[in-house]
Amino acid sequence: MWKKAILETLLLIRMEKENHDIRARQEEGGANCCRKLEYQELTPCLKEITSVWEQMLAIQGDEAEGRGGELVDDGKPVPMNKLLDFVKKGVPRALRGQIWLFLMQQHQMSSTVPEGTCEGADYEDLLKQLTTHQHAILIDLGRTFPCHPYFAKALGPGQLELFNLLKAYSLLDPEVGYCQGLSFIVGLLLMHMEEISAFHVLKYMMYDLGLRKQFRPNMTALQIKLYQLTRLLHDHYKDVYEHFETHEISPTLYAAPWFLTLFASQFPLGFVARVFGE
Amino acid sequence: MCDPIFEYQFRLILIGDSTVGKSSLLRYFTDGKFDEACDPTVGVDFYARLMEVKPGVRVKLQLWDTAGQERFRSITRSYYRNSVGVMIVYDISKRSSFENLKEWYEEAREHIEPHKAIFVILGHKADNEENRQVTSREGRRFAEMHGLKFFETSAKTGQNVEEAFASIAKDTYQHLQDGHIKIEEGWDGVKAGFSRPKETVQLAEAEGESRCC
Repeated sequence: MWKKAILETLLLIRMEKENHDIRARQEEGGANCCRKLEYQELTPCLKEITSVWEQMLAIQGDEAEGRGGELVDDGKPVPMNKLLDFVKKGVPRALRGQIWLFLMQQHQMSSTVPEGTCEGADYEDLLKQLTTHQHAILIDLGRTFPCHPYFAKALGPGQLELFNLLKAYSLLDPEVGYCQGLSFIVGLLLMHMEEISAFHVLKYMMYDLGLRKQFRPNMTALQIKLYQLTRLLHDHYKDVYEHFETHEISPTLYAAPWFLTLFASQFPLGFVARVFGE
Repeated sequence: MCDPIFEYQFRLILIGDSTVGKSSLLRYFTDGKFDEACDPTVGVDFYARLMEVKPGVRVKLQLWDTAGQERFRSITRSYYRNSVGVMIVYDISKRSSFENLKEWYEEAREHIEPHKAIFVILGHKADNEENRQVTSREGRRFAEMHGLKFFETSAKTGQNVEEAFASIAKDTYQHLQDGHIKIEEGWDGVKAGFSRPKETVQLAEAEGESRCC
């Protein structure tokens, strides 16, 4: 028991050190983005669509600069249906991270989601604390996208960011803490954006989009989603439903990971729609 | 798809703490492969393999893999009821996973009753001798205390993997022969398989249930 505790503490100290090194390296010269984005696009985005996205992001960027770098929070939102339309047309891989952030801000502007569900929690402060979920998070680090270059290296930058984020979230939301599946969602976010942005998007998804419900200890929300899926199959794809029934394949078997990792194993397109879906 | 011929189907479930190696063990047993890095099981997963329990008698093992994280128990619990065999796995290089055996054993028993099931205790990652935190004797003693069989296994070297599954399959078969375990309507622990086409039964037709000798 003691031995384990000591080992974990040692590991933490080492992580602390690596964290410092990474910060230093980041300050030296931008993070290494190309490695992060190493995956195949389902369908490459059309040039014209890409340029529309670039324009939208540029306008937003200008506005933001005009206010001394703050996020646009009361500017005029782009109409939802227009955004949705473009999301359906495609999101270019290189801009995906920025677009997700943009969509989040747009959504927060246009909907009256009560702000401040978890106000007052500063990311840096959270990082300084200790979490009771430390062990559970540590054992999943090496098991999250182990084949992706950014996360492959034990305690490399990818795994450290993953640890930081999951730890911060478990402190922010003690009821959910850490649940398996989350590491994939966070990993996917980290492939597209900086650590701190990823934290905001995660917070947004979990609270504003209500995703956290399915990770709560009793997992009722997940069970409901699985049941809903069964009924949808029954109503729309009767033959598939019946085939599954005869072979006693319940959705828990195939769909639990879909919901809990937001299809993270199958990659982004469906995911984008999802972030935006509501 | 046409199922191969087997006499019975046994449903087994693997339980135990997170990262003790349940999925790796099943992957090795069904696929002969071992990966250092293996995704965490989110919910429940499923494997299958045929096995000979005595010369000429084959059974199909339907193997249910479960998530070890506490939170998933609300989902995995419902899989106990329809299992005829339970393999409780711990990691010999992680003391806590051994200490939790009792809790796993009690939980499984509680949910399987009133049905009868065969239990096996597996001390896994046996190749990791240098980091061993649980001696073989301790593992064996726990098993004996509860009247269960015990194996130390490794998905890296393959040590005892065949033996462990063969043992639980054979014991189940024996109990079935002796009448301690019976095929029951509404219980999926044991099902009759597809018999040999000695009477002119066409395999293609035999796709329904319980067309056994």
